[in-house]
Amino acid sequence: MSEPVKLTVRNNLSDSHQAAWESFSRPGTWWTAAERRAIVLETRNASSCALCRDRAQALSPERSPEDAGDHEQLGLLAPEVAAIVHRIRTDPGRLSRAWFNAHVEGTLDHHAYVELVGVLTIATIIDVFRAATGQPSLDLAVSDYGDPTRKTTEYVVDDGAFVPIWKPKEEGAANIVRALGLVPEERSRFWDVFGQHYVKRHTREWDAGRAITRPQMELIAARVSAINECFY
Amino acid sequence: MNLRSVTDVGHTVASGLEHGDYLIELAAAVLHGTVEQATRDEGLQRLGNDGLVDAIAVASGFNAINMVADATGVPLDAQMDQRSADFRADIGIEAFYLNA
Repeated sequence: MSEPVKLTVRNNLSDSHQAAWESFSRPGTWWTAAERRAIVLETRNASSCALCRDRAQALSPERSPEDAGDHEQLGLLAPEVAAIVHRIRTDPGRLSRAWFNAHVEGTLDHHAYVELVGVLTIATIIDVFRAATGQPSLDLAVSDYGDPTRKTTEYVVDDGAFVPIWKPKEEGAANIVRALGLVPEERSRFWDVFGQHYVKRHTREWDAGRAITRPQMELIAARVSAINECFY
Repeated sequence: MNLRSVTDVGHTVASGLEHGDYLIELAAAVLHGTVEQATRDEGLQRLGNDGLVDAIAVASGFNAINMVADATGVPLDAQMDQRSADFRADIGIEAFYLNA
């Protein structure tokens, strides 16, 4: 039997993954290096959680006023934080303000939550990409020590999201671009990676300079978003 | 491009794009973690290495950005809401969830 052909990944894409991945072993804005690493590991673990599997199939994600049952957790994060990770990873399309108010408010500072979302989603992009291209998952280096920066920004505004979002100096940025703005470093990191997966954020040209056409890209994007039930 | 192919559960609506049928299946497989070597081999034949990598990149990227939108609850931009109302109705995006 011949060996399967290994895909060659363009340097700018793999470089963006490498840079983002290394950040998971360093202190962030709100979480320590060990916690950021734990978020990535729990994100991976969520995919095999039986409770999450059952909930994703259930007609309603809330089986009772409080989520019933125990998640299959790694024990690296507080249980309620791990539960947040599991929910975002496995059933994001049915997240609601009611869920946020019940499970995030009072559990996590908004900055910590936004950084968690950033870490989780960046890790997911990379893991899902590598799995689909037949590459092994990346290992996580042993964490660096040091404290989170706790750097805040004044350029945020309450604009109808669950959390305050980026308020750019000039108008025109789409809300999705503003979503992780409460933690600018994570927002920047996410878009550095996403820009290599899609188009760079400042590119308005129809020709994205990729090996598939822009309409083909949009077809894939639309199909993914429809399956994920993402209204945005 | 026929946008109805995006929500076509029965895979009977052609997208009108070259390799559209494959790309729609690939998108779902990337999401569900079910891309097998045979799928990649077909992709290599149809799209070449770089095309397949870019297709998988778009699928994995949008999977994650959907999570960002959902987890932060960002509202749809007013302009986008207005501009997409007619074709959202046309492709039946709300009804899609009930039938998928």
